[in-house]
Amino acid sequence: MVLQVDLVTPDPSDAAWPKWVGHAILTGASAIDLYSAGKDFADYISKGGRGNIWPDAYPRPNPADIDWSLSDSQLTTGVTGGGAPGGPGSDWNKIKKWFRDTRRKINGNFK
Amino acid sequence: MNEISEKYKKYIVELKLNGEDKLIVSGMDISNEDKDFLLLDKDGKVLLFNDFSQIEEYILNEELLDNNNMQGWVKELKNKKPYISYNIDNILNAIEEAKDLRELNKDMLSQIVDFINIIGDYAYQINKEDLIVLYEHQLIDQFKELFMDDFIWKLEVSNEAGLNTVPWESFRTAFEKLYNLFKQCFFHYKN
Repeated sequence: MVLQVDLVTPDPSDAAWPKWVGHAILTGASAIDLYSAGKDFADYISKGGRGNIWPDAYPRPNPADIDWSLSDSQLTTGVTGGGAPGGPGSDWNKIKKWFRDTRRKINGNFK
Repeated sequence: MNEISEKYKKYIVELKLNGEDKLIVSGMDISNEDKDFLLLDKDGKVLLFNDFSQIEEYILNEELLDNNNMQGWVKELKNKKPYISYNIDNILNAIEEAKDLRELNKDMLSQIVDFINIIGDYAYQINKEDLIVLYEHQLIDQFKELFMDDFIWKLEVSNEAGLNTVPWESFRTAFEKLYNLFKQCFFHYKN
């Protein structure tokens, strides 16, 4: 199956869309079929390009433009907005680690 | 959402290890820029608990990092279920059996990234140089970066190859080294 992933670019505000609906749009498959099969949108996209269609995605910060005087938490909340869950497994948590690791790279501390 | 855990930034994480359910505590030090940490024993080992009562007992009887918030969390926590569960046995099996990354779905990839990040939390917390070297290994970093590009970031230009560019066999070896060193740092709590 070839996915025409550049055909649809949902607005990030559409994050509440069920992912199987997004998949149905992309593939032309029946949403009911996908839903009943328990499939997840992400499982069908084998590689690359997800960033352009993934409704939950956040803009990728450019390390050169980041205000590194802020803490990793402050930087993360700047990306996700406030109120997001922050524990392990959350997007917020993954993004915070990304800032932590990127900070080490920027500072030349990464091994 | 577990509101008390979010308020105090302390989380019960269940690890399914060798068929057993163990609990660890992951947190952020609110008094120090939300630095990530795991609950450790006095020798710097990662404490594995059997149940919440052990966690409660340990926290209430020890002077710990971010102590006031640790105590507030454990006293106020009503939902004593794990915030999240990682089946390490399944993760290890999936990595061992998969012929390449395309055989792993988003949920499994996400769990691998989270688990690697927890190891990183620990490595930096105690400044464990050998573990930091393995955590910051090029392939481990590449894997995590590409996961972020594929599933978290909204890229202006698609990364067409994505995670599939990670050399699988080499990544597997790097991950195994990382995990094997990390698991040597476990300490099973006893009352």
